[in-house]
Amino acid sequence: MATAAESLSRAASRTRTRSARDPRSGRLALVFTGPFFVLFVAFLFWPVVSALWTSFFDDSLVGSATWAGLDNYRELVEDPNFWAAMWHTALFTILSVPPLVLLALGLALLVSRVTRMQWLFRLAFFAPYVLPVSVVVLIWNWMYQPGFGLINSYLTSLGFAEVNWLGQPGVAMVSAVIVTVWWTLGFNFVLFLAGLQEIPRELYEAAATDGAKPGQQLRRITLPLLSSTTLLVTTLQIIHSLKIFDQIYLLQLGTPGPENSTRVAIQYIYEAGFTQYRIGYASAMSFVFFLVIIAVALISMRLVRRAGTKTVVSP
Amino acid sequence: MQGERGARRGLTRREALVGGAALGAAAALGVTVTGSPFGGATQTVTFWHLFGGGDGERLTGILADIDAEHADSDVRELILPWGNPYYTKLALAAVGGSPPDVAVVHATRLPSFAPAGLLEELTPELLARHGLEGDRFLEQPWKSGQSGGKQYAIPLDTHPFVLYYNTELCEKAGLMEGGKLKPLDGETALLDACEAVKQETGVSGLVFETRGVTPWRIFLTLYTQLGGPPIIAAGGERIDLDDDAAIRALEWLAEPNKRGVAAPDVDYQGSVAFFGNQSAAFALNGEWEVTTYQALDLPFGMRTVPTFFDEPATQADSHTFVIPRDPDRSPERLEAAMAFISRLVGKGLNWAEGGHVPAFREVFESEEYRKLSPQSDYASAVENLVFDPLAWYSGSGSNLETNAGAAFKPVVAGTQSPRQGLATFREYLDRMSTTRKPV
Repeated sequence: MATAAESLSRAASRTRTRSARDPRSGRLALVFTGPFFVLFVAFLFWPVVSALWTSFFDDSLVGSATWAGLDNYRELVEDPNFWAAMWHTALFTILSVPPLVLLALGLALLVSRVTRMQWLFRLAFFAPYVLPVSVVVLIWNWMYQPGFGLINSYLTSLGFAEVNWLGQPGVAMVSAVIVTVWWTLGFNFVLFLAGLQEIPRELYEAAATDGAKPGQQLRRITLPLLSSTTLLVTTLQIIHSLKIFDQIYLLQLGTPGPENSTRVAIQYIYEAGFTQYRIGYASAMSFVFFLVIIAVALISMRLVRRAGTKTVVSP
Repeated sequence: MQGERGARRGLTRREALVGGAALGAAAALGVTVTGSPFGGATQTVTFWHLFGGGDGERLTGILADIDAEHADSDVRELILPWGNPYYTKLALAAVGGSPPDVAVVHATRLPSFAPAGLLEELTPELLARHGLEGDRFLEQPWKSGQSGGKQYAIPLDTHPFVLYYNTELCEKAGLMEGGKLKPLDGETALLDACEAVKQETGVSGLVFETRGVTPWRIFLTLYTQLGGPPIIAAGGERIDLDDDAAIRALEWLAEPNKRGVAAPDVDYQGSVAFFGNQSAAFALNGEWEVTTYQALDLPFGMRTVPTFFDEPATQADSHTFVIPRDPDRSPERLEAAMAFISRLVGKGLNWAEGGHVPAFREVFESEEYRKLSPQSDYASAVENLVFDPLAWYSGSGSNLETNAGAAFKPVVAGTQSPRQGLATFREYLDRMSTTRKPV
């Protein structure tokens, strides 16, 4: 690890000195990055700055704006629906990240042991991921239906009571998590599988010669060497889970869900901005949400990295 | 938003750039094509609407007829999914200065358009030039097209809430009389009928969408039947909700489930499927599903919502035509747009087959419409319509409808008391009425 990092930084310093000496490469770099830089400023940087500016105004989609100072922020602090929506986003993240990471890891470990027809398993677990969200929700929406839905008809024929998958507070969020796990598990699975294939075979052979049992091999070789993949998958998954909007919005048909139990942060921001035309308030909420996501991402990266390095270091 | 991740991985920056360039070229091309190719003789009229399904097909047919009959205008329709996003797009198009020439909006959505100056005022002279005087329309739909004393919208129809009934199941339960449903007025008549159905046939009595806006539509019907005053006043700033009427309405809403005659908790599509596959004898819904059930060869009839309480009332709304304000629109184009509206209104009978009650008197009073069954069996509903209360946050498919539906749903399902449901609704109303108006 250390040597790799050293050689990397040495390579970086080499390029730095060269570009400083050679003016042509600097201009060339500008030509290559220029177009992207323009797009970045026009479609990402400027909107962010403009949203921050807007959040201090009483902006409406259709009317004029007046200076509002911190009114929007004051309103959101006292808006119970905003904090409920923030909590629903957090709840979705708490419920969806563990299965999406652990199940993906488990499946990757199993599939990596399969030698024949491995492509079939890879395809099977990855296939749902290529479906668009609207299709995924359409399928699951019918499966979740009471009375004639696939899941409930199986439940009743097996003698269980029906579950009100989409209409019961508490259950509705779990239903959204199930849909998400089925849909996006494949992406994490493929990342883990790639990580597993990076681990040199010799290590296992040497371990086997030394008499290490499969469980020990998993704990002492596979998991430590997979830690950078685990770090990547977990961090990406937390960020993606925090951005939850489309599945829930479509599953609950744009409503706040049973007893307002599934409206997530982005949905509430969308409602304020695009159905109530309150762009100023929506911008203020977006900013608070943005800061929370950054904070969570930084904390989670640090936590997971610390855990990761610990496993690598421990013998 | 997992979808974004896929998009980012699937599209390289270069592809996106090339795609963007192609899109720009196509847009430029589109502009040249839309410009009148016949040098002024033909006016292009752009038309946005929100009709999908059977309504959409019917309207496309009507538009083809109009195009064939009149060579002086070329109508370009754009169909957008209905609901909140539709109104947001329309408002943004108008603010951005490139709105359509004619758009369909629900009458109850006018408060979020007209006061913001997004619509062309339809002066009496303009209306008269195209034979669209107010007295040629039913009164309530026409008046619903006004805002601040000025006319902004021309009604095409009214779509009241109705009661669908399965004639076979009702026959078995002894509820039919001479091919029609026996009268069902009074607080418990429909509920008793549902019990009879359940006993005789074993299927559910009543189905309606519980996960959506339908509880609100029923609530408003019942609340008004109980004599409750308009819920919102002063353009959204004052709440006049009558608690006693509201509680009684909510108590009625809880009754089907309490008596065990309700279909399970379903969303809109589920509720349509439930009545469509004969799993329920009654359905409360808007009239617009008539063609769906006709296509299924379902034995069914339709009638006005029974008068459960003191006075008849039926929740409804109107589809209307508006002309979004566009400073660049030529006077000729405005006339062409009005002529187009006038032609569409004249085709009201065609449109009525989809279940909507025509707003144009000549169509409404015509013999052909009277003969249309079941579509004219509930036409009398137009005498006692109640539209959603007017505010910037209310109207069909609005935030108010969604939030009211969400507040009442637990009452319908029996997991909350009527008082709790009312408290949730009132909390929402109080917040909205004190929020600064964005329009």
